Amino acid sequence: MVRIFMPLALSEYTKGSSSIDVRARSLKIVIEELERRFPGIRYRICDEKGKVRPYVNLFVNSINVRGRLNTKLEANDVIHILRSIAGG
Amino acid sequence: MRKPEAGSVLVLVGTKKGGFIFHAGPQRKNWKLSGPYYKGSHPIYHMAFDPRDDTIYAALNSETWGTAIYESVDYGESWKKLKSQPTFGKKSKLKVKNLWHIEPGLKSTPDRLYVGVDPAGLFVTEDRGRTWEPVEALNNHKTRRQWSPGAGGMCLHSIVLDPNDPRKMYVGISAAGVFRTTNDGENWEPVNKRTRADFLPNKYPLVGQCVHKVAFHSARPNVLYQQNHCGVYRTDSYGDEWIDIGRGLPSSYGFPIVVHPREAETIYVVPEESDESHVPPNGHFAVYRSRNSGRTWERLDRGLPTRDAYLGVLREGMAVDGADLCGIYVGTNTGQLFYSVNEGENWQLLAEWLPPIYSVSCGLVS
Repeated sequence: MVRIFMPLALSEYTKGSSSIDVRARSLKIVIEELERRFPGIRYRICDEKGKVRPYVNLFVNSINVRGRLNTKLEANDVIHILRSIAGG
Repeated sequence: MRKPEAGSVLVLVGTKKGGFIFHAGPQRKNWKLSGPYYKGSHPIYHMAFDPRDDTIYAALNSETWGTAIYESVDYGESWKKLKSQPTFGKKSKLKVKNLWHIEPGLKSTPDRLYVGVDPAGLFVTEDRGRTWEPVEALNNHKTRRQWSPGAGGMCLHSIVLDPNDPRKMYVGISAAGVFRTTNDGENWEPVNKRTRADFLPNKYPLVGQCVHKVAFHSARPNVLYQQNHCGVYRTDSYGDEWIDIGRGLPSSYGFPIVVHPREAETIYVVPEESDESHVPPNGHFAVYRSRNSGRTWERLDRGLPTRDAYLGVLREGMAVDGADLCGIYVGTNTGQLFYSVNEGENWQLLAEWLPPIYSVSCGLVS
């Protein structure tokens, strides 16, 4: 089981849950599992070609994996989905 | 908000930082504001009122989270994302960057909606957004290689339906021009004859024109108007040929154009100085009206800032309501919302400190 911490902006999909536990061995499966549970959420995280959106960051155990969905996961890994900082 | 009384006017305002709804009774006094909806980093390029059932749609374009169409069936009290969103799909090389325009279908197609996107594409749903289909005959048009983006992207921003002939419709794409179908989207032909493209070596190409907005009145279905990058035009022949009607304007450059809801020969534009200077000519902000399909123009500026006004109005930034004495609403890219309840004779501020306004549209509560 891995735990995913969701951004507030996607809480309308998760009905307010800020963390979700799923069984997954890669980030790709995490996204698929999120989509299965919360239809439409994949399109927020990834574009229509399946690539992680440029201003969405996926962290695995605090390391930004730069949208690499083939990143392997192990039990108890912690994933954060966060938006990039922006300003000016 | 609770359902406003029948005949109330809704003014839907999409901005760089969310959406707003102003509403007032049929007399259009004592305006009330609801919103902002999706404030913050959610630019709303367009909001649309569906007169078939009073549903309100909003087109959100988040740089982070992508595009999404939301609907409200209770005048903005609550919002729900449509079941699915228009996408080109994995087989196409294109992917949706921004949603530009939502157009409810005709009464004869009660669950149909259209949406125009950047990169230029048209999508249709027959079930109110449960499923979407790309309009392939347009999106893969044989002239597509000759289309190019304008400063706002390569957007499909105008969708004109003809209630007299439900199989006929027009779209405007910047910078590709106007396209027409007469068989419900199965085939499309460019209809840009005699509209200029000063930015191309061939000034009168088949396609490539930078049309900014197309307007239409169902009482004269052969007539369309367009504000173009290179002029203001009218066609009397369903788009077969266009006539330059910019004479009499301080500049024929601008973005929005609208038709009076009951007078098919009355149109409004907001001239800007030039394509290099998107501000009112000489800092004098004014709406211009023609009551004779563009043969002559009159300046309407009573109540508008006529000195040192360096603001602009984007292509979706002007709308008319359907009240007995036509109301006109103009939103600026500096966050002012002006309105007139007497067909443009006098103007006043409805809001002054909104985020940059991307779109203004109206609805009448049933």
